[in-house]
Parts: sequence; structure tokens; C-alpha cells
Amino acid sequence: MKYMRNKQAKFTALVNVYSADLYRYAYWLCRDRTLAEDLVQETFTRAWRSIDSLRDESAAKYWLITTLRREHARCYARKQPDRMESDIENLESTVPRYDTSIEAHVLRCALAQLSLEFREPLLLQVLWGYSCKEIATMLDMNEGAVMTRLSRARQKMRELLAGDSSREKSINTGVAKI
Amino acid sequence: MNCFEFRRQFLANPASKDAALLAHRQECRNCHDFALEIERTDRELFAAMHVDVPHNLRSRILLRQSLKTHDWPRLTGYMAMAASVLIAIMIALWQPRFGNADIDDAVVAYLKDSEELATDKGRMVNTEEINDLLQPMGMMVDVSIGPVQAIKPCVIRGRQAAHLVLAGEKSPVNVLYMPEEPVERRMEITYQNQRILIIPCPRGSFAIVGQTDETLARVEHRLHEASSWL
Repeated sequence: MKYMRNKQAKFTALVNVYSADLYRYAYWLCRDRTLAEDLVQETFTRAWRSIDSLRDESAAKYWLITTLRREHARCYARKQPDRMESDIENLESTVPRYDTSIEAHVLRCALAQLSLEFREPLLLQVLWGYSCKEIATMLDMNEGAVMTRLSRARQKMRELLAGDSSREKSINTGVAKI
Repeated sequence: MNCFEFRRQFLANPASKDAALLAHRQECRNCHDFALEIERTDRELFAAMHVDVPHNLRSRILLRQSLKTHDWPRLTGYMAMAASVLIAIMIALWQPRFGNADIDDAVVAYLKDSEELATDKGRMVNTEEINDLLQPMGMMVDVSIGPVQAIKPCVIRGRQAAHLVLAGEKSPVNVLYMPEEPVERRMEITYQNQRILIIPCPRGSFAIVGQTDETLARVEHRLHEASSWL
């Protein structure tokens, strides 16, 4: 009984601390709210089964992220959401306290447009705070390759954001953009 | 290091503390401006990534785990709904029985939901004001607590607590004083690039929250030296 209480307490702690950021990570991987919640649910179901092997907090966090990644990889082969832009708009209109500034919207659209190979290392670095070395371990790549992807991810983000602002300027000056 | 190499490395890791990178940034105005732009975009990106999570996500995760654990038999739709509601109520009532096994969750939940305390760096809170807040909670401090930038009462797990912001060696350190929340042993956890140290005290416990490069043990020492108990 005491064992079950300890196990439950440990599991509840993991859910309380990590479920929100795991959902965000899942959302930005798959860009689908329903699928993101499914991924998180499945990850925590697996966590319950493996909880005795999760010794400390950093191991648990790493384990949760890696498990979610694998679940996403399984789903990714079966389903690729193709209406991500309208999903971002729906998210904005239905969820209260959502940052609806134009800048935030533009950033989200740009991030959603990045391909997964660039988006994922950027998520791991910016959202979770992992180092290049840690990301390399998680993605099973060498550190140099991770740094290249991160560098290109940010370059692409700059290009997408610059493209958006020049589109705005064209509209404002009444010049048609070809 | 030339500008091309700086930008390549900086785009890969804006938080890098590489000495050559930092030195080039100090020497080159263009690269410094570039770095500021990337840092600003990263901050905005971090905020933009924080989409709201579905309502009651945590409860649904715990409910699903609970249903699987208890291996509920198949029920008709109506009875299944009734069983789910009953379990949700049990979970909601169950949590406080864990006592302080989950005090760290409560601290993290408070930090997530609370707004950053506004600090006026030019003005420190004096000991009298601090003790006006703490004395009803069973403790007082003297000047050896050091500079305190802000204080406010707060509620953690339904109980009155106090939130102080102390000047740390490198950055402000948040201290939560939680009377009637005893802990048996020291706990250390991390949350979003911050370290949290939860320590026992005569009337309950403290949670000391600081950046990873801050020596929290020194703040712990200040608290012990400065505190007296009523």
C-alpha cells in the first residue's frame, strides 16, 4: 500500500511538473491539438509502467521527452496534419489568455513552417533549454550536425520573418508583390 | 574569430559562453547588434511556443492512469460516466493525504502561476516591514538576512505563506516561507533552468529558488542566521 502511494505520488509529481510543457512540445512537433494530447496521454501511460526505473528528476524529464518523440515518430509516418495554419488560428480563437498579438502569431506561423528536422532541435533548445550536446544524444546525431541544424533553423526563421514583414510593407505601400 | 564564424556559432547556440565568441561580440559592433536581434527573437519565440494547454489536461492524465491501474470492468455508458466522476472526486480528495511528499509540486505550481514580484532595485525592504509580514506566521528576521528587494503574502496549498525576493550574488533569489508545511529532509529539484532547494525550519519549511549559477547554500545560511522563532 505504501509502495503504491509512493508510486502514485511520484507519478502525480511528474504529471504536475511536466504535462504542460510536454503538451507544448507535442503540439509543436505534430501541430495538431488532438494528436498532441494523445501523445502526452500515451507518454504518461508508459511512464506509469516504467516509473520505478526513473531514479531522479533529470532522468525522468529526459525519459518523458524521448518517449514522446518516439510516439510522435510512430504517428508521423501514419498522419501528417496539413492544415496547420488554420489550426493555429483556431487555437487562438478558442483558448482564453492566448497571446493574440500579431508578432506572436507571425512567430508561430514561421515556426510551424519549419520542417521537422529544423523545428525539433530548436524546440529542444529554446523550449526545454537543452545544450547542443544533450540534443545530439537525444536525436542520435553528432554535436556538429545539431549545431548546423540549429543555425539553419534560425536562419530560416529570419528569412520567414523577413518575408512576412516585406509582405506587410508591400500591402501598406499598395505595391503588388509578385 | 571572424564575423562569419561568430554568426554561425551564435545562430547555433545564442546562450554559449565560449570565450572567443564573447570576445568577438565585444569587439565587433555589427555582430553585437546581430546577437541582440537573435536574442530578442529567441525570447519572443520562447513566449510564442507557450501555447495554452487544454483545460484539465493533468486531471485527465491522472484519471486515465487511475482507470488503467484499477482495471475497471466494462460498464455501460451511463455507469462508466458515473464511475469516472467518482474517481475524479477521489483523486481530488486524495491528494492532500500525501502530506508533504508533494510540497515540491506545490512550490512549482505556485511558481508557474505567480507573477514575478516587481522589485525596485533602488529601494530595499526594511526589516520592520519584513517582520510585519512574518511575525503573524511565527518568525522574525534581523538585518543579517541581507538586502531584500520585495515581499508579499501569498497562498500555497491553501495556506498563508510569504514570498520574499532576496538579492543574490548574481541574480535575485526567491524565498518562500511556508509555515505549517514541515518537511522531513532537504529536497532539491530543478524547474525551467532554476534550482529549488526546500529545507525544514522550526515552523515549517523554506523554498529557495534561484538560477543555476547561484549558490543557494549561502542564502540558506543567511536565512538560518537571521531567523528567530516565536
